[in-house]
Parts: sequence; C-alpha cells; structure tokens
Amino acid sequence: MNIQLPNANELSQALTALLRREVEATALKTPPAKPLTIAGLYHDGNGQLLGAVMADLPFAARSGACFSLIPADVAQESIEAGVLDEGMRENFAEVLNVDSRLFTRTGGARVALKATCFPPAALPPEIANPAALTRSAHFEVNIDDYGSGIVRLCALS
Amino acid sequence: MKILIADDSRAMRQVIKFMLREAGYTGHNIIEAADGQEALGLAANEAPDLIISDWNMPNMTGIEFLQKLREGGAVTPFGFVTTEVSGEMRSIAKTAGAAFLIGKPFTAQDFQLALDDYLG
Repeated sequence: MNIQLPNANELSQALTALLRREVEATALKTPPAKPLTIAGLYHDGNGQLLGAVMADLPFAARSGACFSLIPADVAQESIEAGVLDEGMRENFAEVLNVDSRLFTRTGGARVALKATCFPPAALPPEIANPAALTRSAHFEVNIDDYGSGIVRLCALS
Repeated sequence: MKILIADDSRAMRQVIKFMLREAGYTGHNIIEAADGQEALGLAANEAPDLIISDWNMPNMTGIEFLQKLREGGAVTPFGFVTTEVSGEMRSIAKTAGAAFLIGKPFTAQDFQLALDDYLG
C-alpha cells in the first residue's frame, strides 16, 4: 500500500480533533537543527511497515499532556528536564497510537501503531538515517495554551 | 448503570470518562481494566451493563475479549473505541457481536450517537 502523507491543514484538523483544542500545523521548508528522537512506527495488517511519526521532546510532552488533560506547566517541566517520565511517555504513546489515523481513512485499509521509540533507545534502523527518508514532511505544530513542537511525518512504503 | 472501560492506556481511559461526562452521561459507576484478560475477569465478577473496549491491548485483545465473553453466554452490550476503523475490522467487530465502533479521535457527539440507546 502506498500511503499518502497529510498536508498541514489535514494534520491541524486531525490533532485538533485528538487534543480537543485548537492546533495549527505549519509546514517547514527546512528541517530543524536538532534531530527528532521520539518516534512511532506504523504497519498494515500484514506487518508491512508503512510510515512513521517522529517528534521532538516539546511536541511529545505538550501533546501528551494536552491529550491526557494534564496542565501545560507539567509538560513544561518535562521539557526543561529534557526527559519524559513513564507517565508522560505513556500519554504520548497514546497520541502516537491515534496518529495512525493520519495514514488512513475511515473504512480504508488497516494501519496500526507497531512500535514506539523514546530516548535513550536509538531510533529503529528504518528511520535512523534522516536523509534517507525522502517521502517525509516537517511541521511546526502549535497547540493552543500548550505551545509548539516539531513533527515529521514519513511514508515508508 | 455500571460501565466497564477496557484500555491499556490510562490516559485514554481518563479521556473516555471525560467524554462520557461531556456527552451528558453522568452518575454511572465506572470500572476499569488495562487489558482484555483483566476486563474478562471484571465482566464475570462485576456484571457491567455496558462494555467499552479498546481493540489493541496486551495479554488479550479487545476482539478476543468480546469473543470469550460471547462464548461464555454473556450478552452485555459491547462496543469498541479504537483506531481500528478499517472496513475489515468493522466487519470483524460486527460479526463478533459488537454493538458499535467509535473511531479515535472521537467527539462527545460520537459518544451520543453510539451510546444513546444504552445510556440515554
């Protein structure tokens, strides 16, 4: 299956629905200077890898907190500490889980979250080389009242 | 009414409870399970009036939970709240006896449309 990446508008709408808060995604023309170290991998019903969502720590902390009804201050503490604790990782893992809908449409073929990756674990080999991810797009995503972070959507099939 | 929510994400269980309130379903007794196995035990011991379950969970998936529940003769109304919204998965859910399937992400209106027959 050849998956199609959502554009900024579609990403904004999907995240607004997920986070129940105004979200604005803006496509970035150049990749961020710092590598994105948090990721979710998605597969189809036959186990074939289809896509990935990569994120920086601020997006993971802010979206996970917002999704779980946790105050923005708590996300900010995680960002300043430079690490997500177990609860924050679990919250963002559920954001990644629902993000499988970015790659599919209601009634379409199955796409499911296969694995998540959080530092200090290394990125899986399929996405470890950023330059090799030719079908991908970077977005700056701002979550109302929570702040912004960076997301990269990658098609792997 | 007693409602059993089965989801391996504590955050999602919290959001589902929040969304039930947003949809106007207040005052119900909510019990929670973190996987299908735990949910099957709670269904047997607590006799919920409605079950809302995730699909992908460790130890026992939501569809396995539903199948085991029905094999045991239970007819409790059962619905999925899941990212598994493909036509194939909807068909599997319906065949197994699911009453509804709400796709994640969801709104309070999605809950009302699916649950009004049971909680309205």
